[in-house]
Amino acid sequence: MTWQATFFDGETAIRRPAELTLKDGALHIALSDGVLLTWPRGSYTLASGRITSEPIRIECELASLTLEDRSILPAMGVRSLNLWRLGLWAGGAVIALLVFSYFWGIPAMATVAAEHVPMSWENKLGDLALNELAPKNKRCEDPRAVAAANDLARRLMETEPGSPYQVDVVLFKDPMINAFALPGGKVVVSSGLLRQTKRPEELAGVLAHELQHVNQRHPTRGIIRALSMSAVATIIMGDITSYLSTAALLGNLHYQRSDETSADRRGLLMMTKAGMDPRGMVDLFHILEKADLALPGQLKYLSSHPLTKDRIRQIEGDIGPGSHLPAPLRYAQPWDEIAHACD
Amino acid sequence: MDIKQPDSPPGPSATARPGGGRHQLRFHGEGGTLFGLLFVNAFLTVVTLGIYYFWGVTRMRKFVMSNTELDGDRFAFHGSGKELFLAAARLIGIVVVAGICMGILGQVFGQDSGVMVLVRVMFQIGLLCLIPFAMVGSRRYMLSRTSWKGIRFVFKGTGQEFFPIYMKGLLLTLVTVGIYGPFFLNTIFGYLINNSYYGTRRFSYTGKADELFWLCLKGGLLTMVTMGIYGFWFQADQRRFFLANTRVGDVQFESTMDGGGLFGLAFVNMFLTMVSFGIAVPWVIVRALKFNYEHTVLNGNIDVSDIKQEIQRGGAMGQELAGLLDVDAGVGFGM
Repeated sequence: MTWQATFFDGETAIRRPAELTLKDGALHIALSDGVLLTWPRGSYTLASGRITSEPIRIECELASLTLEDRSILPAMGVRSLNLWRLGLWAGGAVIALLVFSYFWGIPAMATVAAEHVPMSWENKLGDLALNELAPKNKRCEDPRAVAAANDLARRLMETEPGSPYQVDVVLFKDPMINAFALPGGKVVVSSGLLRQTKRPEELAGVLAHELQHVNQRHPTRGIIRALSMSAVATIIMGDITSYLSTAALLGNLHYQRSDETSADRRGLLMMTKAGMDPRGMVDLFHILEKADLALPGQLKYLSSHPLTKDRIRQIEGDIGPGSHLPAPLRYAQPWDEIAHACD
Repeated sequence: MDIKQPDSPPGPSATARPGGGRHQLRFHGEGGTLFGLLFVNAFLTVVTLGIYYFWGVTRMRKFVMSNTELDGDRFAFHGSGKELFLAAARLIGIVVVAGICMGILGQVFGQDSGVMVLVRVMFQIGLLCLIPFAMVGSRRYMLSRTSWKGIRFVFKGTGQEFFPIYMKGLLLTLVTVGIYGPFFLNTIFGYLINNSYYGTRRFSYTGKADELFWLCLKGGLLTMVTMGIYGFWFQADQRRFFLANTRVGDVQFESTMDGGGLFGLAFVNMFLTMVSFGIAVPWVIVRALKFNYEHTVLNGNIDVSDIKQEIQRGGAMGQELAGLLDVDAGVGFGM
């Protein structure tokens, strides 16, 4: 079998028609002017042409042969690549990889990574986000409310003596019903939420839930997850198109459903251990649920903490019908006064 | 060695010069292949945590070059992903070392001390000084890795030579609040073209700076007045000017691009990209390349009989430096 090709000697730009034959891996080149050349096996390479739409070019040092006839490839022992089909496979693989990373890979990695983030980084990150989300001039500094909230948090934290976090509850003047945990043990509660509470146990319910996020490092994990995802997006897009500030990220942190359930259940356990009536949590959830119907669009807390009937039922199931209830918590001022201290 | 071009009648220079002709670059690549290439690149880049990027870029360049034809022969790209990767690795190493040094100095003198302010300013100036080297290095890399008819392109400019030219131009442009800009642009273009060779044959640029100045003045003003729409015409004018003043041997370059065509191309490409949610990007790239080639004409006799190979050694460092500093000379050989 012979193939028609164009030969360039790599010294001049003059094209010369050539006829090729392959014998035992050696390429024999018969040029139109009668010159015969032999490129022994291993001395030449296929520089281009594996992809079906590219021209075939065979190089030996500076000399090169180009040809149209693709039938030389099987003779050289080369398989062609159809990029169209390969591209579809690669596209499918990229999507599968993304789906896998999104639902499993990145969350798993974030969990492991969060455990290795130094405490000082978490604190810095938390402070940064706190100043952004709850700036100093919008904080409620009423000593009665601040003392009561931090007292509740301290009692709850005492039930988990292994926790390395110094908890600090910050009250934030905001009519929206909102509460969130930041890395490093900062918990932010809005005055809108505080106003809705009828007794200390209800605030304790919110705090127990958020403190569980803190102790289980959910905020840090969430940040790592979000950053990893934007990193993957950056790699795919090829350049940095999205800039995500940490604070903006924190404001929209969505935990996984399993994180929420875990925070509920262990938060409840925390309350029981601290000698508080765990029904506070349920009662608050009921209040929030009613408020949800009355005030659509006001309840940021609920939108990020989907409150399903199932979830309430599950908590009630966990509490059980126990006849022995701890004594209600008391503060120097009536709770009503504390709850409205930040209005 | 004329190629038949039924859709383009011979230009005036074809009749003026015996044995001459009107030649065009042709692109044979298809959007479908590019689509596959982009996805394969994306996949391999993700699974190798970004390392494949350099091989992917090289693959793309090979695709574009090997599908570009002039006078019946394809171009070829000879670069390798490995050389790009190694250059990038070295560059990243230097950046990391520089970062550590800055950190140590910051610790010793205090972050806000006068010394640190000075160090930071010096660092910025240092980066600025690298730009001319990156431009020259990038062009040398791209040309020395490109061949046509088995002959490599060569760039003989050097950073040492270009550095004072660039700095003087930059300074004058700053001092004159931009008025010197077109003169600076003309000087840069001239330097990059006049030091480019196809084998032993030199490219030459004869653009007059004052002509470019009036062109830029008119273009700049009209672009401002029309809220940017005239920008397409301005861009087409600049291209016509640059190509009309570029030649190699007996071949005179010419651009037939006009603002309306460029505007239409940009508009349709943007539309296609948007309605397809980006899927059409490979086809859009091919459309842009074909448009570019269709409006680039080489008038004259392509006589390559006396051209000799001249092989240039040179690392990929300049190319990576250019990537890092985000500068692109933007001067192809007639492209």
